[in-house]
Amino acid sequence: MAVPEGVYGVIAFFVFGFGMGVWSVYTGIKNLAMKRLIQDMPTSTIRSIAIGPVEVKGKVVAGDETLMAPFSGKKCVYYRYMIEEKLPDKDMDKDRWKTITKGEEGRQFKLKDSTGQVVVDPAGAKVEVPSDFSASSHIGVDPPERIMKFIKDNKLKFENFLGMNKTWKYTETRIEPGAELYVMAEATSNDDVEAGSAKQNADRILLKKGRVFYISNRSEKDVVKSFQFKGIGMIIVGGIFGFIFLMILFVMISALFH
Amino acid sequence: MILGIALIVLVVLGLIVLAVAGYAIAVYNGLVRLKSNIQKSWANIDVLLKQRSDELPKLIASVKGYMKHEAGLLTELTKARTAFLSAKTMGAKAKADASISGALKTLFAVSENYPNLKANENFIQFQNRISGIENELADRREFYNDSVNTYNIRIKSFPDMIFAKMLGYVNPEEMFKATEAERKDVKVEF
Repeated sequence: MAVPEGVYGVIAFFVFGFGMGVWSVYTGIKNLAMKRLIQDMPTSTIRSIAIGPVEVKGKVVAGDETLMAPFSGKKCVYYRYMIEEKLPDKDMDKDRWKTITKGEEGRQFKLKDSTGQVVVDPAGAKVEVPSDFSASSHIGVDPPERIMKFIKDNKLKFENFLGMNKTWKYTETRIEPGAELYVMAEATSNDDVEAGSAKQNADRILLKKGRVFYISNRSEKDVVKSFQFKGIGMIIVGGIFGFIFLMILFVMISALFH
Repeated sequence: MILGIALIVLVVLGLIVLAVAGYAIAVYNGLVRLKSNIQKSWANIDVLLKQRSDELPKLIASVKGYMKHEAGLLTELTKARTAFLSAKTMGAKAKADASISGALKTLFAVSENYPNLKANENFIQFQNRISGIENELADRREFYNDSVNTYNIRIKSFPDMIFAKMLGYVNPEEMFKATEAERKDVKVEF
């Protein structure tokens, strides 16, 4: 029996769809595991942090060095930025965006609660702080001055071959001094502190990346809700689509062999 | 057709079995983690208890000369320390800890009656150091109780309790409780 033309392409599509479903379920389970981990971990007061995985809450105090966010120019201890370009898409009504460049940078800062303060190194953290800065440029509208300088410094081309502005979107996320944070990290000995010079237990501790390193400006309750929502949503959507795609694959493959 | 339906039923059943097994594994791992959290938080308390116990002889030595009329209190503190050092179980250590905390609270309150002692730099240093440890201990006891509470709730909550029972996690853990001596206000006579 001759195999109809293009059937392998269709099978590949459904295999991909099934794979995406499995990935979605897996990611959902990971989100629920994270939710459990957060719920299982009691919050430590900064004064009594012990070595190992910890959960703390407090206010950001800038360390010796601070950063200037690239788009807003605001003083911060961590920033993440992204420039995206709108792509023409005639087949779909939805906008499609392509990432042109993105990056992040952080400096050590202190987290302070009513009992003390501790140093946090944000390198490698999963930072979930909503972006409160966004700007755009398109035909007839240039990006703001500071972003223009960033574009020039990074040798990016925001104009097309006719010299007209491409449609670009600029977003930025920051952690500023004074921000209230929820942090789940690994507490380790701070090698920068000389032995015997620490006045308090927390002075000799550094919070950094361990098995889990998560920073958010939301309350613990909201963080748990968010992981639960994402986890259940991804399992349901991934499960349903994965199952449907798998069934279609079964039907197609069995039809091919009969 | 029948084969197709049988296949779908089989896949669905397989997925259900997989989901139940996955959930049981998650519950088991969660319980192991919670138990380990309790053990770790107790170990973190124990470290501080040991530190405080090491400071006590120096504190007693620094106050002995000034508080001659408080020999009973100092003996009580020494006895509580000895009880802590010889304690083998968590319960015995917790009991000795409560006695030491109570005795220290009284000692620092009574020290108000001795102006010369209050001005002694050695004493101030030990007092600050021990007060610092006491504060950290209070935080860690609270942390321990939070860990125990999370575990106790988990093994009693549905549906986790089904797997917890099957896996032998049935007995709730005990929390730290403030003793009668700790709850009482210390009377200071001037």
